[in-house]
Amino acid sequence: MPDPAPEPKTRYELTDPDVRLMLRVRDNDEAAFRELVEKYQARLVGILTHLVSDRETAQDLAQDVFLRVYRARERYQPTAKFSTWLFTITHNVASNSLRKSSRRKEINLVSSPSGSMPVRPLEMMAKEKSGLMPARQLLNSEMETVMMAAIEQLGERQRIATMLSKFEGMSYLEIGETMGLTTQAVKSLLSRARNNLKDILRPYLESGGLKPSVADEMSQGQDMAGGN
Amino acid sequence: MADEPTQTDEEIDSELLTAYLDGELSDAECIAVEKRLAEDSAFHRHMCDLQNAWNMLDSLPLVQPNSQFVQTTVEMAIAGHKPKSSVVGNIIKGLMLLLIPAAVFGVSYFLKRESIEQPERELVADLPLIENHDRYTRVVFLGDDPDKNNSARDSIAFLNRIYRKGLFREVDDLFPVDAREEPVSDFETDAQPADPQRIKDRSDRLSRMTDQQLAELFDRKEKFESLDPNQQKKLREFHDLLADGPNRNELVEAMTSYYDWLKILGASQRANLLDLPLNERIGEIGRITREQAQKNFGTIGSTKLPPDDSVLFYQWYILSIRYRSAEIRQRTGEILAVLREAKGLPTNERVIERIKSGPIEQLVQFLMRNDRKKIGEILCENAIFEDIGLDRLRENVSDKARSIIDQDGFTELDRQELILKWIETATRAPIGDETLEAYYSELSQEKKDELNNLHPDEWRASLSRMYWTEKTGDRSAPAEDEAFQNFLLQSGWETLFGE
Repeated sequence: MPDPAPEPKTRYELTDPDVRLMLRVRDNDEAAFRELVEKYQARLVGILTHLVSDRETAQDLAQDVFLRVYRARERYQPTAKFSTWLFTITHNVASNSLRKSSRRKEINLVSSPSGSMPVRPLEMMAKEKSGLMPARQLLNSEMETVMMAAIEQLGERQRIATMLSKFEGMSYLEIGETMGLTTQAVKSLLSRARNNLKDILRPYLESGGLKPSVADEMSQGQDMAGGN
Repeated sequence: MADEPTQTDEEIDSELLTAYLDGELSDAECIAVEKRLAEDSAFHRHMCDLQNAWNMLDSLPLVQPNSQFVQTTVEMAIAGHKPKSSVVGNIIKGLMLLLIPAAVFGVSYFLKRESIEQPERELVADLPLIENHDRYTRVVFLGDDPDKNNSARDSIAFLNRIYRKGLFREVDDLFPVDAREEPVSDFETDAQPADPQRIKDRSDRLSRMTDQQLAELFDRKEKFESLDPNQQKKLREFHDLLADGPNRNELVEAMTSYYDWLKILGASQRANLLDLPLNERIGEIGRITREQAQKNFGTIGSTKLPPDDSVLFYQWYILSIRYRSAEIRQRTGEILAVLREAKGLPTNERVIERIKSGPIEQLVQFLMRNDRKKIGEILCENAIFEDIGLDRLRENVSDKARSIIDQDGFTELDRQELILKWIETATRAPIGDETLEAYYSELSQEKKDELNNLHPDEWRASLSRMYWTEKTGDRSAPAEDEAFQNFLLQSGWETLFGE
C-alpha cells in the first residue's frame, strides 16, 4: 500500500519561517526552540516590560510564555503567523499577571528597589519640571521616564494594542486575532490609545517642556486610564 | 439590548485619523481623508498631534533580557518536558538502562585490568567533575565576557567569602533539607596518580546508582562534554583548587548551600544574579538573603515585631543575654562537644573553651542554629532575675506586641520560637538610610576613616553595628530619641545604661 500523500503545506508554513521553526519544535528539535527564543526574547521582554512596568516580572513572564509554547508544541497547528500565536499567549499571560497584581496594588507608579523600571507619576514629574525649567527640551533619559509613565496611564488593553501596533507592526486584523477582538474594536481601542497619549503628552508636544497651567491641570488628577 | 454609546465628532475624527496613520483605510477612504486634511487646518493639527504622540513612543527604553535568558529558558523547557518517547525510543532507553549497569561492571573490570576503553576511562576519571558539574558551573563563570570571566582562583575566593559571611545561614530553613543533594565527597582528581582503590570506589559508586541517578549522571556528562576545552580546563582547575584547599569542607558546605539556595530563586532573579561578576554577586546575595529572611519572618502570620517595640525589644535581648551569659556559654560548650563528636572530631577542651569565651552574641547565634529549644528556654525563663524573662518583656512592650506574644493557640514553645524570630529580626534590623546618614555625619573623623577603609559590603553592617552599640551600650545615648528614653524610664533599666 502506498504511503499516504503528505499533507499540503499551509499558507503560513510556506510564508512564515518562524512557523517552520515551530514545526521543528513540534518534532522535538531543541535547536529550533532555542532559535525561536533567541529571535523573540528581546521583543517579548520589551513589550512585557512596558505592560507590567517591571523588568524582572517581564522576564519571568516572557519565560513563562516560552515554556507554554514548548508545552503546547505537540498540539501546534500553523493556522496563523507564528508571531500572532506567540503574542496571543503573551497577551493572556500579561493579562493574567496584571489582574493578579491589580488585586495587590492600586496603581504602582513608583519604582521598586531593584530590577524595576523607574516610573514616577506623570503629575509629579510635571510639577517638578514646571518649577524648574518649564520650556526646556527634555533629555533622552527624562523622555524615557515620561514615556514610561505615559504608557502606564493607558488602560491594560490600550497598552497591549499600542505595543502590538507600534512595536510589532501588527495590522488591526492581527491585533484582533491576538487579543480576541473584532477589527472594529481594535480600531476604536487604538484610536482611544492615541488620543489619550496625545492628551497625556500635550505639555511635551506643545513646547518640548511643561507649561505650569498644564502641569496644574494634570496634578488635579485627570483620569487617562478610562475608556477601555 | 444596550444602546451603542454615541461617538462624538472628535472621536469619529480620531478613529479615522488613527486608521489613516496606521494604513488601515481603503484607497477611497485615504483620498477622502487627504482631501480634508488639505482643507481643514484643525483636522490637520489633530492628525499631527496624534502622530507626534505616537512617534514619542520611540523614546521608550530598549529593554534587553539578561544574557542567560535563552539558556535558562531552553534548559527549563527541556528539563521540565522531556519528549515523550516513541516505541523505538523506549526500547533504546530500556536497553540503555540495562546496559549502563553492565557497562559499569565492565568499566570496573577493565579498569582494574588497565585495559579500559577511552570513553569509559573518562567517565570514571572525571566522575567527581561530572557529578558536580551543575554545582561548579554555578560558581565558575564560563561565559565569554572578559569582564566577568573570573578565573578558577576567583571562584574559590568567592566561596571563601560566602563561607566567611555565613550568607545562607539565615535562609537555611526556606527549603526542605531532604531536597538537598548529597554533598561532594570524592575530591581526588585525574591529575593525581591512578589509585586502584579510588577506581574501585568510583566503580562501586556507579554500580550502586539507581537508573534515575545514572540517567542524571549521563545528562551531566553530556553537558560537561559540550563545553569547549578551555571551559573544561577551567572546571578542572577549580576542582583541583577546591580539592587541595586547606578549608575544603567549609568551601564545599558554602557551595552546596549556595547551589541549593539558587534553586529557590525565581528564574529571572537567578539569571540576573548569575549574570553579575563574582565580586558584585556577593553584595546582591546578601541583599536577597536579608530580604528573604525578613519576608519569611513576615509570613508567619501575626507574629511581626511591631516597629515601635524594636528598640525596647533589643534592649531586653541585650540585657537577657548578659544576665544569662553563664548558661549560654555552658550550653555552647555542651553542644560543641556533641557536634564535634558527631563529626568524628576529637573533643578538644581548649578549643571549646576558647569558643565558649567568645562574644556572647555570636554564641547566641550559634545556639539559635543548633539548639533553638534550649536558648529559647534560657531567654524566656522568668524565675531567675526579675529584670529579664518573658514576663518582664510582656510588661514593657506595647499592647500590640503583647497580644502577639499571648495570641490564642500559642504554646510556650511557640512563644519561645516567636522570641527567637524577633531576636533574629532585631539583630538584623535594617536601619533607615536617613537615620544611618544622620548618624554617620555625626561621627568623628577618626571613626569615619575607620569605616571608609572597610570593604563596601562591610561598611553598612559596621555602621549599623556602631549605631546599635551606641543605642544600647553608650551612656551618652542620643537624648533626642524619645521612644528610647521613654523606654529606659518606664522599664527602670536606665540605671544600667544611663547612670
